[in-house]
Amino acid sequence: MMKSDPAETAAPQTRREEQELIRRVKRRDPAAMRQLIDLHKERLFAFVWRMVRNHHDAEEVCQDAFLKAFAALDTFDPTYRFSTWLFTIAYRVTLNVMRRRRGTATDIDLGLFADSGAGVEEQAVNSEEARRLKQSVWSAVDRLSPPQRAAVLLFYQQEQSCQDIAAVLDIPVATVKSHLHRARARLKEWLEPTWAEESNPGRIPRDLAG
Amino acid sequence: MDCSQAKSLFNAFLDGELNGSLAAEFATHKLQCASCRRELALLEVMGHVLSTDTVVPELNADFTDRLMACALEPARPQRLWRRRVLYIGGPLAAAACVLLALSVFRGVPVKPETEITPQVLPFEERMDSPEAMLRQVEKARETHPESRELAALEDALRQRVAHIASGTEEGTKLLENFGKMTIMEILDSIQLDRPQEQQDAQPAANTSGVEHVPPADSL
Ligand SMILES: [Zn+2]
Repeated sequence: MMKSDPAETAAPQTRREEQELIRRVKRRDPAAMRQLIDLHKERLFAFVWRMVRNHHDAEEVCQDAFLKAFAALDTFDPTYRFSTWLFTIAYRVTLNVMRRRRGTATDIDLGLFADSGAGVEEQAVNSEEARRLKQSVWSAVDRLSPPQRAAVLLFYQQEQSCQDIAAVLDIPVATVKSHLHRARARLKEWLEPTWAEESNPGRIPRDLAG
Repeated sequence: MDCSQAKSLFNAFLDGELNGSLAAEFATHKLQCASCRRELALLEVMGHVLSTDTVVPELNADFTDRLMACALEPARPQRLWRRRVLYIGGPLAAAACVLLALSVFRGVPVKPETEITPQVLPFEERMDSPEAMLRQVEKARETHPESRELAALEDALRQRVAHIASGTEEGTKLLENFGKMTIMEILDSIQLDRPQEQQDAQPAANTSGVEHVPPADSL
């Protein structure tokens, strides 16, 4: 009955459902562990991959984060959402991975940019101009410092509140905001030339205007 | 409201924190000012891309299975695995040493020993399953494709993984025993070359709880 349909796994659980699930995971109930993993793995992977930009590293970080979460589940404070806690652990592991590989050449997944923009149908609709804008936005994001990038990803991609982001990054809310604001300023600065080149003033590519 | 006042409110506007009369004034300025409109539009398009372009590569289909296999390893006695420094000679002579810190995570994140390089094998990993170890070795081989030792280690681990996956009684036993084996023992079992002068190969970073492991034959 608890079959995890990918479309459904993203749906937020109620607090009570989550607490019950956590209780079962603490008892090492395999079905519950599996469910907890399936509920969170995709969002977590999306975040981590955008941080490390390498599939192999991202999977490892996620795996490590889950294992650490399971091992330390007794210290989990159920007044937080499990996802916030999981992201907190994953962020720390991510930073370690990034630190570790600093100075060594690492493959960055670039291929994805080429067809970034989802399904075939959407691609047909996407103008070249919009695609290039997306590409430049993401390469600009790659240039941000890790905390700035994390703040941006959590805010926009994961739609987390500044309070939750503060918990994940383990910094004050005010610092989250300053990361976010600085990131915006830098992104704008980097993107302005692209923008000036690629579109007429005041015109937003149609398929990006929302 | 002038442009500089309006611009100072961009972030509050984008954060959804602009209310009341200030919001009205801001909106009015926006109507009248093409420059602010344009700048804000860029920020908004940026935000739109960031929140809607959610395409990332897919997780491997067996992610959950692999993770469950790691998570459900037979519970071991609360034995704290000690960090160990291990030497691999031959083509890795320049690299001098490999640090493997084996630790079972106990709720406290392990501090990275960033000063210890090269890390042929990352030390912050649980190394108590053959799959986990294999993945690390594979990764290490990417950076050190010339190392025969790593190649041998990879082969040996691959055989073990296959053996375990076979599901035979022997395989199951191997899995159970695996967590009790140290990397050293596994390396011994596949007879890697050992450097002659380990003392010379000591890394400067032999501090902070990292302990040297004597050559395998003296164990
Ligand atoms: Zn203005």
